Amino acid sequence: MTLLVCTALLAGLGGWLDARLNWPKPAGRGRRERL
Amino acid sequence: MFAAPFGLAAAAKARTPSVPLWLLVLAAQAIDLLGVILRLTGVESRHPDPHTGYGDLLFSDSYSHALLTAVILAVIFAAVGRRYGGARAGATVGGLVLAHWVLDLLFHRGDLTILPGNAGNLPTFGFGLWSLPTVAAIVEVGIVLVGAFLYYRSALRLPAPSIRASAGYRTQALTTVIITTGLLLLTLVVALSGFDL
Repeated sequence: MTLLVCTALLAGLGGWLDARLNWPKPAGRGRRERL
Repeated sequence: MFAAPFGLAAAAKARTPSVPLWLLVLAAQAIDLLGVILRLTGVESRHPDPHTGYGDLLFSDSYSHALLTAVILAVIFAAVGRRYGGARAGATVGGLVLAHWVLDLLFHRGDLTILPGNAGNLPTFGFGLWSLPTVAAIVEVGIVLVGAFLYYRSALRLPAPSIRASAGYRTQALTTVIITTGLLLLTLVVALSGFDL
């Protein structure tokens, strides 16, 4: 069960980190940049 | 083995930055997560259960840790990964699943099967690094630290959202990586202290 909790926490943290840092978005995903 | 796959996921993010970290984390732990599900449903067993210390587990005719299962999981995760960056992303995500099995091969003590449930009674594998818990833990810490470093280096190379934000961005990248690394090492401490996985 510890593995489930830790994986859920780190996957959630991963989503948060992705949002905080300016990682490239996959083609066709995310918001379009304003011109 | 507990923390090392998280380190692999962090390293993979540096290689394929367009793939979300949550997917890399799930791919890196897919085999063990399947193992938890199968154990909770009574399909799979291990000894001792609950285990009493770091690296003392032995699986019995495992389904989740069979090579064929790892290959099937890798193909599934690669298909999902392809959506986030084409063939390279798919190969990285699928490769993470297989990398976990390869690490298991290094750590486990001869209980890894080729086919699920050890069908055909084929030979089982495992080089048994868990027999040397201190060495195994050091290897895990090393993989976590290398993964965190690669992640941090990759994060620093990202363009800041704006020129004004660039100084703060660097600090932010470092802070997030320190938090992540701390959590990863904490998971290893949890594993070392013998908590049930």
